Amino acid sequence: MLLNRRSLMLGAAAGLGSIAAKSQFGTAYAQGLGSANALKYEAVDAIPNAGRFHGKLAYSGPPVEPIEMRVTKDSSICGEGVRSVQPLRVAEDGGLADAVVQIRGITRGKPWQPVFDTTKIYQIDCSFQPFVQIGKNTADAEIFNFDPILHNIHAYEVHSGIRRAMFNFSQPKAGQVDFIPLRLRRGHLVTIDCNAHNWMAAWVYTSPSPYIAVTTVEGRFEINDIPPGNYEVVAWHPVLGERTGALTIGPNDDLGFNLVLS
Amino acid sequence: MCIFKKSALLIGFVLATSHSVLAQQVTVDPSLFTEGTALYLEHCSVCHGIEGDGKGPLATGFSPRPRDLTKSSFKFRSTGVGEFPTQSDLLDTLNRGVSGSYGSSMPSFDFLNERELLALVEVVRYVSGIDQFGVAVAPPPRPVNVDMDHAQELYRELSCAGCHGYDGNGQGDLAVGLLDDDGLPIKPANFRTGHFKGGADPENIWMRIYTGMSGTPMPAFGRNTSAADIWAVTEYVIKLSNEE
Repeated sequence: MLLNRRSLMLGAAAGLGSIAAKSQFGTAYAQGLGSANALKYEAVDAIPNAGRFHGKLAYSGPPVEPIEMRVTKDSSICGEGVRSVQPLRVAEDGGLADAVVQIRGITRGKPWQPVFDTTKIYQIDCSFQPFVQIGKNTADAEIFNFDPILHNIHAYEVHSGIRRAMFNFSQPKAGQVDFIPLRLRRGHLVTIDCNAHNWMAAWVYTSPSPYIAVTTVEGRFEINDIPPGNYEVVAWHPVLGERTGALTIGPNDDLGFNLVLS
Repeated sequence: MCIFKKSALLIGFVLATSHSVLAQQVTVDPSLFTEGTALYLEHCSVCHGIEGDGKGPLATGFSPRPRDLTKSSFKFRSTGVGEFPTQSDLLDTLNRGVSGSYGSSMPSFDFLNERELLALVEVVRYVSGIDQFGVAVAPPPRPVNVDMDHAQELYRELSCAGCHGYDGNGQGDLAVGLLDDDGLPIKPANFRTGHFKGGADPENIWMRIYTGMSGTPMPAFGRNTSAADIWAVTEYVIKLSNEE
């Protein structure tokens, strides 16, 4: 598979099935556009006959070559020569890490764990870590620089194949921490890059409900406490794009799910 | 939008709050919008497109391209990181234009009267989905004396030279390959030309460093760099722009 920097940064954004919220200039004068991500969700203490959805995502496409990018500055920290970036993390048995599995359509269910109120973005060894994470749709971001060099944190909201700049600020020194609301306006996906080191990339996938998971390095995921019902399931990876399907959870179901992406 | 930081290194925001004025609420005015629509079609749509998407008939002749207003990302702001501009910021850009060579500039619209300019701003606000204007930050007074050795060191330390070059000629190590939000090539400013797109007054240059330029690789330095150090860099940039 041929990939380049654009694959890493823009990913498969063009294939996302988000709800278009583009303004129709001159036809509907109004104050605000609202947000497709601002869906209502109510947390409840008990979920009768809750089900579980778990499984594995795997990759079976052609071998993916690392993307090599020239280090043009800060080589004492970022390394000499070229920086090799692996856009897909695939286990020996094909298990795909860094993919998101989300169940859409649940408006009432388990509460979010507080850790998802704040996404953490670490700049270490001239990379953003983690590469992919999930967060509540009202989450804030806490951004740390552990490198003794300047990074800039350039965040974009990705929606309907378009990137909209959210913020772009510098952290010139190690030990700096900034706290900033994400405030997505139209979509649910954030991508972050650093213009000083163009191999750096990270993604934050936000959701109104906590029925979402990121696959482990083995490609595994688990979502539990699901209210019985009919939903949509989404599998997404920054490079491989999105797949959707129908999902029915019956009372006390324990559903296994395996999906191979290519 | 409320933006704050947790760490002890909160120089930038302390400055922001101490010099802020109240955010302006948006007042919807259909008659102003109607007037603005006609003005927009006459003066702006040829570059910024009928729908404000930056795809007017002349757009492809520009580098960087005319702003896609629907992305609600504005280069010239006096507001904090991630915030919308103020109404005055938009008025200033219309009044001042965007300085640059052919193919990278926007004319001044200072020939329009105040209401006409406000009407155009209202169209821009609507197209951009601005539901509340940002909170303005004013630069502290320009210092009388600046240690230029320190200023030069900051210029290097803050990686200004990485894009703009040590001589300010826009040819730093990172200059080739920089992209704007649309993925199109964008050049760092060449200070030696004396053109400053956001205005050449020292306060304008200070603000560009403080807030960054949204939609471009130029980040905001105001969160993690003191106002005094931003003034020092500003003076160094002015010095570079005055050199032969």
